[in-house]
Amino acid sequence: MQYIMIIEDEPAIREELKSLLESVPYRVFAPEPDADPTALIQKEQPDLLLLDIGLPGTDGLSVCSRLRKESRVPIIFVTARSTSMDELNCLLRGGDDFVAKPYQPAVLLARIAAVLRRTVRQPDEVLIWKNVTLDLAAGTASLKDGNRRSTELSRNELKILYFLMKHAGKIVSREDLIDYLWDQEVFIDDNALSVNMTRLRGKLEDIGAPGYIETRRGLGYQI
Amino acid sequence: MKLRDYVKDKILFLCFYCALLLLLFCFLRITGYPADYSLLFAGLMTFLVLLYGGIDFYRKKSYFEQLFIQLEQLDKPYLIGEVMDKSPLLTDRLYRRVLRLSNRSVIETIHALEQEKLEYREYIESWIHEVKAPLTAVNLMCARKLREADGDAAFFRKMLRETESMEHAVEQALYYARSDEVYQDFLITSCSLNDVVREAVTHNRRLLTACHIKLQFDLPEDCRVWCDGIWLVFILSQLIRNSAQYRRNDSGKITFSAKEEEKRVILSVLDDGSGIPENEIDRIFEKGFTGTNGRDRKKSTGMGLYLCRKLCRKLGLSIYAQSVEGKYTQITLEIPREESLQICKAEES
Repeated sequence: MQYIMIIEDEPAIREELKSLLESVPYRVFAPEPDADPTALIQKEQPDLLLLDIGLPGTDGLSVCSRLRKESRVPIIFVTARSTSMDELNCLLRGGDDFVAKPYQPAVLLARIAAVLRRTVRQPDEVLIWKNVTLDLAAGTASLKDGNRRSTELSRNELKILYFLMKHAGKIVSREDLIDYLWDQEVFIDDNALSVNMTRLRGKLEDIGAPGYIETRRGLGYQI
Repeated sequence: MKLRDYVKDKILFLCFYCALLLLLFCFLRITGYPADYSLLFAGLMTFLVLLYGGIDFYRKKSYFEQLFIQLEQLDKPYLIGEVMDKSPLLTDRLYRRVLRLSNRSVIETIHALEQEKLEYREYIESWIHEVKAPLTAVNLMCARKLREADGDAAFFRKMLRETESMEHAVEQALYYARSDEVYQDFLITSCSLNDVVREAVTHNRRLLTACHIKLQFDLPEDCRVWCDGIWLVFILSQLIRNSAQYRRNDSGKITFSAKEEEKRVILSVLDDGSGIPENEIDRIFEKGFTGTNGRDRKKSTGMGLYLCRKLCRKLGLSIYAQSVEGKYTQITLEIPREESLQICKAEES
């Protein structure tokens, strides 16, 4: 599990951020920042550092400068200062990315994942539930046994099936599903979701898994 | 300064002079000087007086002409007291002193006001940065509740929609503080139009999903513009929120389309909302203008589009609106594709 360290002076944000990252899951360390957190960061050797700019007694930029002298740890700046100048400043000091507060959790997670992907290679994910296998890298769904017929899914269908499989056995509401899709920058409305769902069901039926996605009237979907 | 005005100004002196001349002439005649001697004397005196008048007029005229030229050349005319030449005439010198003293107080007042404005703006900025921390915390808390999937998902979604509105209002105040002429804290770089549009949509996702807005993207792939990405996101965000707010029914549609031309990209945001009455369309970018639409819904501040235009001018973009009431509104942005063009435009404005 990847190890992320948070340097943030607001206790409320620190705790929530910790819980957010732990749900992914990442291993998280969020100490109360002191005047010079560089020594601590070097001791901990995290895979990634989330650094606030406005810190008591110091600021994130100078922490980053000091850190960069001896360490290549990926750094994402998180700050309420949001101009392009600030962004440029952060990148010039050796930051890897920049996220402006107030951010959306999904956006932050996506940036973290992107930075980590650049530094650490992660295995491609394959999900299996009941008799269907979802291969994310190939973008296909296939039958686990029997003739192993498979079908290619569109980007939207792939994301829908992925989310349902991640919550296999549970009821997933349409709102949750739309929320997740928007997190993934798929901007679809209610009607478009219905269309995508119908198409996805059709494809699953084609490979021999009819009724794989069940509708729970008034509640949502379940596999 | 005209000769006629000068003569008019000296009318009292001329009257006294004529009376003096008459008196002198009579006196000379009574004491027994011949008439031609007396006339010659009077003529000589008049010549000298006119010569004096001519020199005086010329000096004053050239002094004031110079002064008016200086005044025109100054970009802050109230500084004239500091740069005006010293006149050879006593009254002018006295006036110069009065002017300088009065101007000094004007300058001091202006400085104090500018300082106050600067401090106020700095305070607003730091206040805005401060308010972003609790907003971030609330966002994270709501996200946790949604993640934990207890029964109140709808409630936390509503809450996120409210914090999203709050974020937008806060951003608007920030950009208003920054829209000042002197503030130049933006950075023109090459940015991806697709990314900018996606980010603007993401910033308003709660409003868009709650209003059941269907989105359509007709953007060329890999389209790049020369702009400050963060400012552009704000401008688009404003347009998106307007479209969502002025939808006609319970749902609506927003289409983003872009056309690449040689030197610029034409980006338009089209909605099928309530539109703008024809007689109002020229005024929608004015500060504080709330059309009949805005007044009906009691939510409009009249600042959104005003800020958009102001920021566009600073960035060197053009922005304009087309609309048919009850059918659609389309706001179009023309964004430079090259650095050089941007600079030309900025210089023109």
